[in-house]
Amino acid sequence: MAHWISEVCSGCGACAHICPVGAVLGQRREPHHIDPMRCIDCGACGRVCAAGAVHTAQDEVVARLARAAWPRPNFDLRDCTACKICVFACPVGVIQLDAQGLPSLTRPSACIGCGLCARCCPAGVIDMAVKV
Amino acid sequence: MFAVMGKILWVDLSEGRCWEEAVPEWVYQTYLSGMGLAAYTLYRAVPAGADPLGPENVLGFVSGLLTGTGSMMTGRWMVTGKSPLTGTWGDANCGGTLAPAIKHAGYDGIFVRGISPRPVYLYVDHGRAELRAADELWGLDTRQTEDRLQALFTGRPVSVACIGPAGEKCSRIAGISNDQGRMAARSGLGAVMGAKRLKALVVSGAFPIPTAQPEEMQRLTKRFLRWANFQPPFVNGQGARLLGTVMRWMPLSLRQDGMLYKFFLTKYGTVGLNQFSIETGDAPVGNWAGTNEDFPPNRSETVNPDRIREREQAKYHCYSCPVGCGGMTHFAGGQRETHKPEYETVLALGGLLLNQDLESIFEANEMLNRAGMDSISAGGTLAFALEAYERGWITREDTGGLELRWGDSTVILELLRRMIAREGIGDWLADGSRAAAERMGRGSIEAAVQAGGQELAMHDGRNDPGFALHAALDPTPGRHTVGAYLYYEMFQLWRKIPRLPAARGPLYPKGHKYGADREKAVQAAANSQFIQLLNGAGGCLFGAFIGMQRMPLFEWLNAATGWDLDAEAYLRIGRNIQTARQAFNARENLPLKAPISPRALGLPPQTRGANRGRSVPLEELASLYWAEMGWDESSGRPPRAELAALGLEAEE
Repeated sequence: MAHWISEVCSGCGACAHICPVGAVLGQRREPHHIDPMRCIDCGACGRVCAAGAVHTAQDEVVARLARAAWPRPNFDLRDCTACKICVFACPVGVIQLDAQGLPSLTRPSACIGCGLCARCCPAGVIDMAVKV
Repeated sequence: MFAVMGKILWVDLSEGRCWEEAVPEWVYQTYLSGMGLAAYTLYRAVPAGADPLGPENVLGFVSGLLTGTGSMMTGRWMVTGKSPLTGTWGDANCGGTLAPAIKHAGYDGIFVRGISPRPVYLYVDHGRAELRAADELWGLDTRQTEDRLQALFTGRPVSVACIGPAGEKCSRIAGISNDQGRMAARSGLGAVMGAKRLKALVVSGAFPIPTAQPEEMQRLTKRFLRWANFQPPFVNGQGARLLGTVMRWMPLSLRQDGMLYKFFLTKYGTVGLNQFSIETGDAPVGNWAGTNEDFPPNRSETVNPDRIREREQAKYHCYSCPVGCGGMTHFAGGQRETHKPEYETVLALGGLLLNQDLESIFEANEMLNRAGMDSISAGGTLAFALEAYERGWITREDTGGLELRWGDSTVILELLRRMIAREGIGDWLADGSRAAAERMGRGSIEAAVQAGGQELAMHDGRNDPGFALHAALDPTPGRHTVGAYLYYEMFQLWRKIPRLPAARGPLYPKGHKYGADREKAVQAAANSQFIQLLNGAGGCLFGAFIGMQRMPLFEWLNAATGWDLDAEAYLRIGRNIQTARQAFNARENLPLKAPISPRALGLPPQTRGANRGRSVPLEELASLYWAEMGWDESSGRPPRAELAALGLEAEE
């Protein structure tokens, strides 16, 4: 399963720039494409695409979203087990542990809002929410 | 297929080449992943008679099937290869962070063969791999190496596994360090890495690990967390010691529920059992020739778990672990930091050497972690050296002027430093006690307490004969994490597999443990099969101790893969893994009952202390165990037809 880019791509390169795993390939001003073997379905490419060219694996167009409106993880540490699963699930490495081994979002501006941390958390302590 | 990445990474260091190999689904169905995948791969890739330190040996780093699937206490990684210490199948198991990194990078295992012409490290990032020069890292200790490598990579977390000077110098008791001192210590596989001139692995990736039933995985995990997080107020260090003393006095054994052990782990980590084990006779003293009476409570007070806990700054959790039995501790008056020494380390450098100086144990722990050397084998070898000096097999001239005395921590630290540096007498000791005894001669092998060349861990078979049985009969000799009668009590497998006998209890006569009958063989075979299954899943032994009615291992495996197997079918997979490991040794024409130190079997029995009058009927147990495993009961060889059915050998 992987996202894919349609022919309406303008070749701006924003998707390639944001992709955390180098899965978007293509020359500037030419249509880009996604290497399905590397794509992790985080959707970041679609959220920055002004042309609406990025589709999910289910063929739905990913809507562009202003970065401020991207969801970010909120940690309710009362039930956190300090298991580090979120740290290794994060494709951009913005979750780090404090001295007691508890996680927090260290560089919110670098978070791509993919929600993989929340999906992987076995204790259900991560909530993806838009900061108002 | 769900839960696995479906491929392995191959690296040929001689050719400087990396490539991928797809793993057929039947391999996972037969062997699971982790240890099973490694056993299947190495059996095919390592030719019989290969030199463990030569180019033909293959070092396999594997994660488990359940790693990264939303299950918990399933983040162990294993390193496997032909052991330079024992000449047999070798493996070591570690927590830390490498297991999820391997899987998120897109692989279930990384297999390395050949010898690099110059020092290199392997960099694997999200499906891409390359070898990079490591000349500047060669000579650094494990923490320096990891610091340097971590500084090179920002962004997504990388996991580093590396060797220190011990591995570089091919010490046959060298291990591999991950996450600043979590050690895959056993079997001397750090020496294999050193011989290959592979300084480190740096692994990262972001591939998700899909499961067949994610909601069911989460439901099972939440249920397990209720047990894993349950922690009532618990005894202090003094209370733990008293508990051990009372259990020694009692004429009856108490069937142990692993929740009790979990309470120890959560509060103290493995060191919670320090004095308890000395008191019960579980921990050997004075190179296995002493008894609890030689290290009584007033002397063992120095390793009271409260004394260690008060140095703990923060708990350390391996990946996917809610318990956090590890810890970061300080020593040298708060000036230095080290991973909390484990039970094995504390007692191998404490009671085994009659050493009461806790500060020296912290110092030695950090020296060993930085050198990348196994603390169990190092402690066992130091104990051997102290006894050799006492009995006149070596003299002050041999030791370079050192007067070796039991419990002299200054001398112990200096001897350890020389072992790590392979300096003078240290060069004799750097390859373990058996190699040192062979060099020393004069019958000194009597004092080298090991099985097949690997020093025995701090669990005395004269207290629980299951430890001796598995140490001698497991394909990796000398291990303590491969089975024990105590483990059978704690796994509580009979609750899932009705054909298995329930462990006796709640109280039973102590003498029952020292016989040889089929019931014990059934339990030992179930232990082997279950623990290898656990190793295939990447599971933590301490998690399994909580009991299979509480840790949903079989249920997790079904929900992760989408299979619908019962516990018995999973145990058969564990049996397949154990058979493949056994077949590796059988092909080498090695004795499948490893030569084990008579002292560890109570031959002759001790005349005082907790284990007086006890011995292990290993000969009888071996035949019974092999028969129960379905192997030849006189030789332990797996039948050829079975190897063909497992895809290891061609059909006849």
